[in-house]
Amino acid sequence: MSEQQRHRTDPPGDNGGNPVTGGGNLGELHRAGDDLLAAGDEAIRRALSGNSEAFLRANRQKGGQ
Amino acid sequence: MAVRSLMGVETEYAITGIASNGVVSDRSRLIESLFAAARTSCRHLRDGSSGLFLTNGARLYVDRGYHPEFATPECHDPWEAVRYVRAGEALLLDLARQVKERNPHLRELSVFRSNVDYDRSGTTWGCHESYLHRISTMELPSQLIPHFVTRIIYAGAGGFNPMGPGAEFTLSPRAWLLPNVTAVDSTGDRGIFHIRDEPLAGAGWNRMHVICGESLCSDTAAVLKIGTTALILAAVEAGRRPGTAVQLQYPVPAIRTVASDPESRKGIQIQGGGQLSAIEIQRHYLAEVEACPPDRLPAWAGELCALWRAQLDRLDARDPALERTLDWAIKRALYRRWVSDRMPWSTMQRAGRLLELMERISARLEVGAINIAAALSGDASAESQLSPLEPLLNAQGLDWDDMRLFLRLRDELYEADVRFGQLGEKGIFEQLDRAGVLDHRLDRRAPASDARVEPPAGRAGVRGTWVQKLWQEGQAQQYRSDWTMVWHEATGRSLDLHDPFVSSAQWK
Repeated sequence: MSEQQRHRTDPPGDNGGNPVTGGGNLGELHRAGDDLLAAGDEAIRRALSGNSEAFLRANRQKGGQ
Repeated sequence: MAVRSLMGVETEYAITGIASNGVVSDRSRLIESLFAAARTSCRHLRDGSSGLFLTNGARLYVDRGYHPEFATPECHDPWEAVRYVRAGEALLLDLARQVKERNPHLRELSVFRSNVDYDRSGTTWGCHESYLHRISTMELPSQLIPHFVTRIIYAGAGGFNPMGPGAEFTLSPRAWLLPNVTAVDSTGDRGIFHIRDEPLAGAGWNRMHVICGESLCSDTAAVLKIGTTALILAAVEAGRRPGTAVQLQYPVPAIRTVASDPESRKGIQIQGGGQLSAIEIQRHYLAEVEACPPDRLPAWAGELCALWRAQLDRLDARDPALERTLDWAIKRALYRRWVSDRMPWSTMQRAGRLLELMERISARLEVGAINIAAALSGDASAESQLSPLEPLLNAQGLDWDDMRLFLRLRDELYEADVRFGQLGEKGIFEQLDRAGVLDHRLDRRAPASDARVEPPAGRAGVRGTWVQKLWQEGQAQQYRSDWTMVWHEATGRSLDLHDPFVSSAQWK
């Protein structure tokens, strides 16, 4: 079984080990976090070229300081 | 009376044009077109070479490596500096739009706030800071280096280690391209502390030139990066020695340790024994600044210290709200989510480390090094080249399909990281900002569009006013400008701007 297949059985909810802290309302914090992640997924989807390897090659340049 | 402060930011931008047929445009022609558009649409005086000084006192020019660079005018506080950085970005975006309109064959013309290229060549774009001071330059490295090593916990751009094959997340990609503690070189053999003796002002003034920083999208992170550094410099100028108690034993490994520790918990070895975390070192600097008499600090110090403390408290508490505020924390949240829908984040990191190991081992094989990515993108016979490496793969519980998926996700993450700071509506940060899901803007001194045209007060104001006046009078072609002078080419008559706080000047 590949890691991809095994992943489908992994428990959800990995938040990167960040305990939810701070003085804010817990529900609001979660909602704001969920909104960010949903918008982030959509933004990445819109931004990617569809062929990242080719994009990275095209974008290669000399750089600066 | 509070002390006066002066600072500025130079940012190098990457630019890429792709034609409708997919061919990558010649970059030098693109840049020539960009500057032709600038010369037509911006009121300016020419600098000493091919660059332009603008009515807002800023300078737009082509720098080493052939890319556009925007230097803000001299600013009086970090909010103002960030406002002019954003004005420069708006200008570049507008110029790129003009070039694209005049070149309909271009499918895409993009300008990026890139910090690194993910081709493992060490390519990087600078975002340099300058601070005016009167301290002996010999004193600065020891007082500032522990700050530069640790400020990346709020001022890191986030991304991936640009010298590794995996997608190893880092708070600061540029940290991996600083092999020295101090250095004069700014293009290759860089140091955490840049030693440059070029004050750009009259006698008695020095300029601290900082090259270890990164281009940032978050206003909060950008203001903190500049503001904390300016305040530490002011504290040193006031006679304090904030760096002395937190001298690092090994600054180069230390900045990599901090860059690899999103929790900011790892200890950094201090000279004389003991360890401190990056947060502890930053709190020490904050306390040293706050111990200064208010009249030895700029008037904005209190506000900046409050912002500084708030972010350190959030980092200490591992507050998830940081994921809407700081560049690196936003990226880390987004990238983890992007990957975890396709592969566990931990597997992604494991596969990256495995790829690095495989590359090292394959380099020692009798048949010669194997290009693992190329072999995996080929047919089954190409994959057979990889059989000597299979035991390593099996030991990690992975198979070649996992590695293929890893490589595809890695390239997507690399592209996403370049696109994160892309100027304009396709940029990932820009999209998030427009969607209202971020919390990075600072209400006080909100970015104003007039920074595109109007200069700040002081020397930049004198320069900008003369750029405007000479342009309006149709005389701009006869004059040139640099940071310390505006002069008439034919007669040599000049406006002396060596005093960085000058508010008016006479032609001589």
